[in-house]
Amino acid sequence: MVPPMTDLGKQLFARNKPIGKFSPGGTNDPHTRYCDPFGFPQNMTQEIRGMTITTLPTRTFLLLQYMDLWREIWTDGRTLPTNVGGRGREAHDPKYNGYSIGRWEDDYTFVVDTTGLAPETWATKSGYPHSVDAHVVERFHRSSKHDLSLNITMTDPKLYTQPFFLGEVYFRWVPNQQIDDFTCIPSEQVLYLKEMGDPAGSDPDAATQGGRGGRP
Amino acid sequence: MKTKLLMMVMLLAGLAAADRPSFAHHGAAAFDMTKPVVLKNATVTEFLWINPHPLIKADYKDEKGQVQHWTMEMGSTVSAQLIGWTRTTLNYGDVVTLYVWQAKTKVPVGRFNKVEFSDGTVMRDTQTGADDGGRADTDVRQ
Repeated sequence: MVPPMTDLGKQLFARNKPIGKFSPGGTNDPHTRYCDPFGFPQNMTQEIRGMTITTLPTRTFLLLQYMDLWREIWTDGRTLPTNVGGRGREAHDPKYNGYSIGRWEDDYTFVVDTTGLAPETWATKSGYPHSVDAHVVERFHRSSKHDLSLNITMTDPKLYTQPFFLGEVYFRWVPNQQIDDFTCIPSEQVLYLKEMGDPAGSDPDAATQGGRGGRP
Repeated sequence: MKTKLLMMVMLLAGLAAADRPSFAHHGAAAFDMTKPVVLKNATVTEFLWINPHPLIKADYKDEKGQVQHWTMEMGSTVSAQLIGWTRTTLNYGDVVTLYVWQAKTKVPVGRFNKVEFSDGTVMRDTQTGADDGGRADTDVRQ
């Protein structure tokens, strides 16, 4: 359920043309057109395919099959940066995956807090935006030996008036599975759009999220 | 102990996102999904095993003898592999019958539905391969 948006949230949302309505030929989704990174949190609800989790004493890593992506989650007790994208020497730059810290809530639940997201990326495939200061909470819960669920909620008061539940992802452990290549390759994407996506065009009847007509 | 719980496990994702689309990668809004176009005895000119979607290119001679150059997209390489596709399933020069959901713009491009080979075997698309345009990797077995 999408929460009410602020005026700024509405403005940012209205300029995005998601692939579901506009098809590859009519979307302005930077991933679809250019293979730009999804960024977090979209990369935890989109594609993913296979995921490997591995740990070091002070960090947990998530390794995603789609886009050969890895995320770094610190577990050494540090706090999240508070001045991402700001001015001054102490300010951090925004990052596609933001800055993440993790803690164990109980033996089967790992909670990850993330902020400092690259603001040009979309929070969801449907074009919902996020700001650099969005705070995303992920709850990884291992419900059985082979089952893991992930709940994702984003709080971003600049753009939304209430927390935004982004979805629940279910993972099934397949022992000894070998992961194949699956990544967006710009040269192949150019070929795909030239041969297929652009000639197919956009759905002439699709409405934009602002209620305007869908013709580009 | 806690870290061992999740150490080096590899998992496959299933998704129930709040704004989940009907197809995994992109929607079929650009295509007419009511009835597939049948390209009987089309000649494969190229099979591009690429991401995000493999492309089948084929020449089809219509009833007037005019050759149409078609391009159609499949699901994804990784999902097609799970129902038996490889990068050599189709080859240059193969004469096959192709079923395709054509673009609403009526240009000769579309979403692949299924292929019938000369020996009668059928290979389907994962996402739009069923005869009603639905998923073939879950509800059709051939």
